[in-house]
Amino acid sequence: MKILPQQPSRTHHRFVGTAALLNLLFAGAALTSSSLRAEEPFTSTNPAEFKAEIQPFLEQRCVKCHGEKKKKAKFFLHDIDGVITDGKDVVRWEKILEMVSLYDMPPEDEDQPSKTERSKVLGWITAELRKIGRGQDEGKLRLPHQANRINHEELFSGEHTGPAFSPSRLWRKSPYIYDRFAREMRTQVSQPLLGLGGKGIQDYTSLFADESTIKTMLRNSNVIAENLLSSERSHINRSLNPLFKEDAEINEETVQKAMNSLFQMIFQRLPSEDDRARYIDGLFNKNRKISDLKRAMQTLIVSMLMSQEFVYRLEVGLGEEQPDGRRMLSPTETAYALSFAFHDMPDQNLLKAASEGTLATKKDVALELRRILDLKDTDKRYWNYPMYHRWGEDYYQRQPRVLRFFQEFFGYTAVADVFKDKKRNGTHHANRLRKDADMLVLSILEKDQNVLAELLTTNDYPMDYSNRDRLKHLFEGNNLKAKDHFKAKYEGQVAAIIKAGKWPGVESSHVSAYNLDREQAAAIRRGPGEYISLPKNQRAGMLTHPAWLVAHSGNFDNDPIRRGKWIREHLLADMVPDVPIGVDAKIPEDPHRTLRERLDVIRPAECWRCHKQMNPLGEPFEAYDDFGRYRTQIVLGDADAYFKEKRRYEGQKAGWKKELKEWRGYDAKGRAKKVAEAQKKLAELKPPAKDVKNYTAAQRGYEKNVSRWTKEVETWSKMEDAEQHRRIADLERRLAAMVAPVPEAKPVDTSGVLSGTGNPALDGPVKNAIDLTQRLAKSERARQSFIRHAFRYWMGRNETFTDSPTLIAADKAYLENGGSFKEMLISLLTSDSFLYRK
Amino acid sequence: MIPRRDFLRNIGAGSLALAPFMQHMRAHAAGTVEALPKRFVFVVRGNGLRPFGIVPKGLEKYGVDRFKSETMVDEPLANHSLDPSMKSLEPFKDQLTIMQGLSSKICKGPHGGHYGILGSYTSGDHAPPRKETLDATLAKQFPGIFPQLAFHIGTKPGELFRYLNISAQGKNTRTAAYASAMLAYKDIFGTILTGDNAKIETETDRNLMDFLVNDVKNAKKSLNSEEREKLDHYLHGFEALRDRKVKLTKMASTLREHAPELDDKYTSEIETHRLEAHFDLAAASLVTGLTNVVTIRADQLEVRYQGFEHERMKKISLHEIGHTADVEGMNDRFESNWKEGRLMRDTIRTYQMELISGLATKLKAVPEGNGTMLDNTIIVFLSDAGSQHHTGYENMPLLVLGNMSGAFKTGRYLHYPTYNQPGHRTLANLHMSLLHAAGMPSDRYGDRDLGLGASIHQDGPLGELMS
Repeated sequence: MKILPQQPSRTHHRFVGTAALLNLLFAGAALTSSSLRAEEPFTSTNPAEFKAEIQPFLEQRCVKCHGEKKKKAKFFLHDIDGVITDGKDVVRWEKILEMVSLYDMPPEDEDQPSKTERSKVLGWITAELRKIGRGQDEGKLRLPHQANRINHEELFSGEHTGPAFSPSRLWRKSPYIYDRFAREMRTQVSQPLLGLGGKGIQDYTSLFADESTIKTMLRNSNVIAENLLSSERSHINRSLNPLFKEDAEINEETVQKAMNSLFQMIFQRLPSEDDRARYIDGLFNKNRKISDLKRAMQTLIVSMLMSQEFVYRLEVGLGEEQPDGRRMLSPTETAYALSFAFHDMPDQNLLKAASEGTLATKKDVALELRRILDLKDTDKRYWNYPMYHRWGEDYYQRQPRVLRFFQEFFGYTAVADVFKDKKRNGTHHANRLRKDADMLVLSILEKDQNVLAELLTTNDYPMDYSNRDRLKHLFEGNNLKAKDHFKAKYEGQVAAIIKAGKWPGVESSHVSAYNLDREQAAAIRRGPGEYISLPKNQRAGMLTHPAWLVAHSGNFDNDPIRRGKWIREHLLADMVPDVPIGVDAKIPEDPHRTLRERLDVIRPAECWRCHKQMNPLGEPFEAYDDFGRYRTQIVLGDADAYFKEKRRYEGQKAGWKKELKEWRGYDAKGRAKKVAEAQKKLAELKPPAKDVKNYTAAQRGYEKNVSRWTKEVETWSKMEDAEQHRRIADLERRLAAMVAPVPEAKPVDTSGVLSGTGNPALDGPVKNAIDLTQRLAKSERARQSFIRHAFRYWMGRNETFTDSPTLIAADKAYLENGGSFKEMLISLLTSDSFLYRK
Repeated sequence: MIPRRDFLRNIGAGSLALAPFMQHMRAHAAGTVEALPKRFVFVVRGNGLRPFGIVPKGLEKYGVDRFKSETMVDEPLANHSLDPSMKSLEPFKDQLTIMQGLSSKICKGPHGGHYGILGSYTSGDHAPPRKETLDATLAKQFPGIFPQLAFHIGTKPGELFRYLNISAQGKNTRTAAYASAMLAYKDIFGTILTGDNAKIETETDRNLMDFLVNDVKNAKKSLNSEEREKLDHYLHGFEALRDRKVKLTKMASTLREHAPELDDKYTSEIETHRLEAHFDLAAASLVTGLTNVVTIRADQLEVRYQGFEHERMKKISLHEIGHTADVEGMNDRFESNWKEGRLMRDTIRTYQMELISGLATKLKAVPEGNGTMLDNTIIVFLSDAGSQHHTGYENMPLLVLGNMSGAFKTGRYLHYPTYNQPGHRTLANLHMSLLHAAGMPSDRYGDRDLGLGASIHQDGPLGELMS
């Protein structure tokens, strides 16, 4: 066993407050960190300062429209109380702060204040509001979706040259890491750590553990410790066994040995002298005096599982100090950072490299990254990603966090969270759509060329399939949990399921979401890796994928506003202000108008000012219904009744057609065949034996069958040609008389407007969703916005202007390698932002 | 049950070792009404509290959806009998107030207003809480050994804790609620469970907590202020646990006397059993003075009720019940049967009313001051989704049980004028009324509803409720 370098020592104290520095970077406004604020005595706003510095700005740039005369958007500032700390006009000041910081005001067509002027005003308002506990919420500003507050052009302009770094920090471990550890310990736990919640990036450095976390973790830790100490679990705690043998000698050495193995298991390192003193003398020996060995050992294990080292990833920067005050992560820190960039557990190869001194430079890191990211042929099996991904995800996926990025970026995993009434569409299967979307991502990642553009434009959709091999693997493979679950659920049917190569009653009907019928769906059973090329005028990439569409829809209808907001924030690096408090954000119900028409409520100028950033981007997706099905007309009125009637009509028509075909076959020859069939049946029938269970019922059944088949023989042998002709004529008449239900409908309006790409060739009206996504795929802004999100995901924080060089380099790596996600990722993870701390 | 005053006087022999809290309580037992503790219980259900199910007999017209009232309705309950689903509350009619018409449009979310319900501030789906909620504020004012106890019906078997999305201890700090009744029992009354090992476990646990507190303190030294804050949260958690354990050990005999009987409902996987256990624990904790504020999340949309004799209810979730029609004679777009919808809602509501009545009965059985414990308690029952499954927050029907030593005029049906009508009031005004009753008069609470006209008074308590 190799002795690994120690994790950050506890006597390390070189860190200056970086909080203030970080905050400085938000829209140029100078914010003070909360800890500093607490020490400042309260002073009310200086009216002279307001008069001299701020009032001229308001008068010059705001009052013209928001004054006594015009009061645009019912907002006016001519009488605003400049003494912010009096609290009278807090709401108005917060509005000014929000509008000016988002570059929403002054309006585009007006003369713009200089950067310094803007930041001076913002800084002053922020500071005054802070004095009374108002203004922008610091916690909120740290959330990923707030990162777009940083001006995009400036970020990629090259005017900021770094040097980049992340603050020295603690990164609370993700729920996945905790889960993974508990699974290794063969223990079921309840999850104490939660992500950020909602759609979007979940694992962020702003998260922390509090009292509620501790309560749950303490409970879990005790269960884990009990398991480790129970005799039935010796396979995971072999090293503890010697202590509990009957004639075991308990001395310093044996305890030491047990402790070493526990440390390896929990912290992936050996204890230092300091650790030994703290854990053994400070806790174990104390408890040993008052309790038995088991209890003392249990407390020791719990103490490790509750320590801050276990809950937090320490990324303080323990490498050599640079002249500019930054420090690189130590090799061990780097090993952990890289491990958790891809997996939910430490990567032993990386830890080994760190201990052998081959993880000390950027070049070393790049080498390791290539080792991790270069897929062997055997790994290129994205279709093996199992439907029931909760179990054994990692059997198939070497880097679960890579796929997770795409899931969180597109937010399509929320497809399962959107409640859809089964009565409206029984073929909607959220989990299958989610899996299809996963496969779409993985199939594109496998080629690793023009990744974002492909994701936005491809019409080759992989779809979930089941076949004999897959089902056999599921029921008989080594994924015990899945196996038990399904064997219990489909007790007695397993052999039949495998033989049929499909789940009972499923029939891949979920493909109706792609406007495919069952026959077309049969194609996807051909085998792994198959995809279906959908019509190019119907689908283009993830944003027209049913999983994404449903994830960004409401319970009963589409949600063009949220879809537009998603595009604005994820592909155009822009922000939309929050819904103003008190606004009744409700769309009127009216079954005779389309959603777009009903959305007229937000066309008045005061709403449209913000909504114009969302609706024109989201409305092209009206070409799909809220289950993601492509449509050319929108059914109005009682749409559900229409679709019900339509299903009835189609079912009836198909039934009669089938019947007609059969009757055409019943000429003399066909009828003779029917007679023969019935006679054969009759011959096969045997009366039940007297001792059979339920004799009476069996006898009754037998008699019924005899009479049935006798009647059949009689009917068919008596029948003449005239009867056949009569039946055929009747069915033909009935079919001709059928009237297809006609809905109250309007053609879909799929028009929209793309704005904010920064490229006049792309901005402008769009014909439909395909046109929109294809333009986005060509947009530099969309590409860079995507990279900004990857940055947030892998750095665990919002980008700042000092990260400018990191982002520019990642963008360059992506471009120069033909749109390679892998190269972009290597660039991000070898950047100063990832490797340096200050 | 022995009178509370007596048992407080008798806890005796080791009175030197009494926790400061218990000394406080003893002073109350001997003292005046003003010195008595004030207790608050919040019971929050999902799916809306349907108006038709709470209006008394004879006032059915106020139970119609979107009933528009231009004037204030104030009817004494004494003249009416309660809805059949509220039969269990008949004995408490003089202490009951049924309210409709309060709005809470600062709330967002189609299925519930999250922290806005008890905090009167805007809070979005999944966003961390922005500030503390009313229950936490009251808990800080009247702290017990457990400043606040919270329970959550839980939706998965084996679930231990759940974070409440309606209650917060402060910014970013959600209230953790017990989902497992057994775990709650162990934590609250655990000191009476362990026999000979008790002392050893307590000692070793104390060593563990000391160790962990030191571990965090040491680590803090090497960090900058922002990161240090993260560890502060961690540290406070350990310290709170450590202190609580010491106090509970000292009052083991009292606890033994009042702890609920441990039976199989504590481990049952049936939601209704668990909920009964939660209410029993709440009652026992209030009676022993372990806490003065309890928040109970009485159901959640994912719950599938297994405990009722109704086949369809066992199959569908509360969410789906919410989508089943329940308006008389009206079948919804999915052609569900409104009678079934109403029956399912009635079943759940009746059950929840019975639990509340049971809690009130237990509190009424313990004499305190010149009356009973119930006289110093207020139970609020409402839904985070207002009056219906998909809510607009224009009407938040609710019940208030208890008058807090006469602070509230009770025994009435109050229907406030509809949103934006003169005289309309908001849920925040009820929160202010509760603060007034708690002796923490406050005339501003939460975010203001900017959609309300200037003539609507958003400040101050509800005049019609206050004595």
